Amino acid sequence: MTDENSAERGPEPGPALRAEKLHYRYSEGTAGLGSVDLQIGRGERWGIIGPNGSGKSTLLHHFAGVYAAKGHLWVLGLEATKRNLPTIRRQVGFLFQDPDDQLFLPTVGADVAFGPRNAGLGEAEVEARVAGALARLEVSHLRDRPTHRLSGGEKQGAAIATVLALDPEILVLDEPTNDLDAGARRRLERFLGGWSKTLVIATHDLELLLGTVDRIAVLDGGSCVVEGNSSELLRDFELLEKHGLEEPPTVRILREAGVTDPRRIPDPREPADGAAQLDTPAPPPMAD
Amino acid sequence: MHREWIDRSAHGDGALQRWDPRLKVGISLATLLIIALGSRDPDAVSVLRLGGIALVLSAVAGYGGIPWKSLLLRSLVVLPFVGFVAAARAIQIVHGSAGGLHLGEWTVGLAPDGIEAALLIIGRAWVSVGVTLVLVLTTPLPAILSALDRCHVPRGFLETCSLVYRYLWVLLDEGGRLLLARRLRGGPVAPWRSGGAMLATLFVRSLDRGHRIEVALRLRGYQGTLPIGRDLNWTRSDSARLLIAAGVLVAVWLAAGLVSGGTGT
Repeated sequence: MTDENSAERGPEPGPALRAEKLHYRYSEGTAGLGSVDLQIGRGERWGIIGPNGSGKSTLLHHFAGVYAAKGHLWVLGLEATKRNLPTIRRQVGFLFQDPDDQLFLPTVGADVAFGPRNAGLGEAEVEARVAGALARLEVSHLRDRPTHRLSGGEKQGAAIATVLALDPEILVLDEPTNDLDAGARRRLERFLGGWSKTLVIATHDLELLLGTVDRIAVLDGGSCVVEGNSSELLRDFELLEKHGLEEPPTVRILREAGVTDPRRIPDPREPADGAAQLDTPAPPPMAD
Repeated sequence: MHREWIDRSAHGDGALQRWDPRLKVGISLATLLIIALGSRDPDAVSVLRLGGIALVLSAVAGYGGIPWKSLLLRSLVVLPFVGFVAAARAIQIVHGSAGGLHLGEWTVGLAPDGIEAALLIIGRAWVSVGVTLVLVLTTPLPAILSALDRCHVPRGFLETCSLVYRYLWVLLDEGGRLLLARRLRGGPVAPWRSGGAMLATLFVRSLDRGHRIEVALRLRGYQGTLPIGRDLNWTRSDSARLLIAAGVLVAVWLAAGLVSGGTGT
């Protein structure tokens, strides 16, 4: 198959992302990834956590098609070889840690339109994509604003819009809550709550993951050391501490309040049904 | 901050901001050309012509709501740069003993017409910077780039300008933070005393950022060209403004010649 044919090829059957013995070494010789085995199904919502230097960003760069895979990586069924990277990049939306890296054009509107135009879409479609992406992030009013005059939260909203305008099948976010104030964070959480396709978030902000993902992979030393259900892993104080992480504040507060059984901590996404689930001892019977 | 003042003004809603950028770029370039083509000798025609342009510039700045004091002061930024050239024109060094400062066999003194010529050089540079300032204070850079793009200025140059404009702010912010961090820990207050180390740090950070921007471009399908600027809309009013501006410039050119009784060349 030629490069051109490969570029035209759409998603293929299989999980959204599958890594087998994926490894990477930086040019100066440092190991970025040791050996990662991970499978993320289509439509699943995953968090990638781990201490600094554990390889989270490197793994995400592989998912986004920045590097050709050493070992094996399939993205939407397509192996991440050098030839397939352009196709993979069109299917995966990647958000950088620093929005200033993502927003390289002088105005927000021009930046959001950049990807769709490069994808060869007509002007009407580009316009619709730009308007839709900005509206979805609640930042339509920023369209004609100079990028360098935006606040941190506004930059983050605009940066996510640049990714959304490409209508990706997989959304990959690297530390999306960096420098966000409470309002911007709420907007981000609202947006993530409404995202129905595959989602991968690498972050130190475990509180964010508590409400947005279903599965967690813990990376340490360039390898995936644990994976599992988010509501269980995020409440496993010992596991988190072992890998240089800290439990989300909500979980800590509940634990300190005496809720010792992690399975009894309410999931913030579920409707609150009162404090009945709190593991507080029943009051002693009144003495007559 | 100077840069914020410029940026806010350029994105403002004044009378000049509503003019088509092509018109403003065209008038500015024509004015700069007239200044550049003027005689280098401090004759009456050159001085009157420069004075006329300065008067028109003040009137335009006033019409556009640009505070003339700020304009005057900020355009003085050119003085340190042009001062050396002006000094070189004003001073002459001759062999032998003549009126002036004797340095061995050499004498340093004022050239004939040296002061007038030096003042003309400074005046021309000052007014040129004033013209450029009025343009950037009333036109956002993306709009200026759009106008230059329509004038077939090479895309590579415009794309570089666009990226520089975007990241200059980021770099300045980073530089400001570095400087502050140094000061807070007792480092030298004057930027030039820690300039070398700071520039080196900024350079390394810029390399890193450059790499990340390159990745960001690739991930969004960069094919070798960046979009430049925005849609432009030339109106009838702009045509009328063009005629008026051309008339004013020709009038200044001719009037200076007539008033001084010269040839107007």
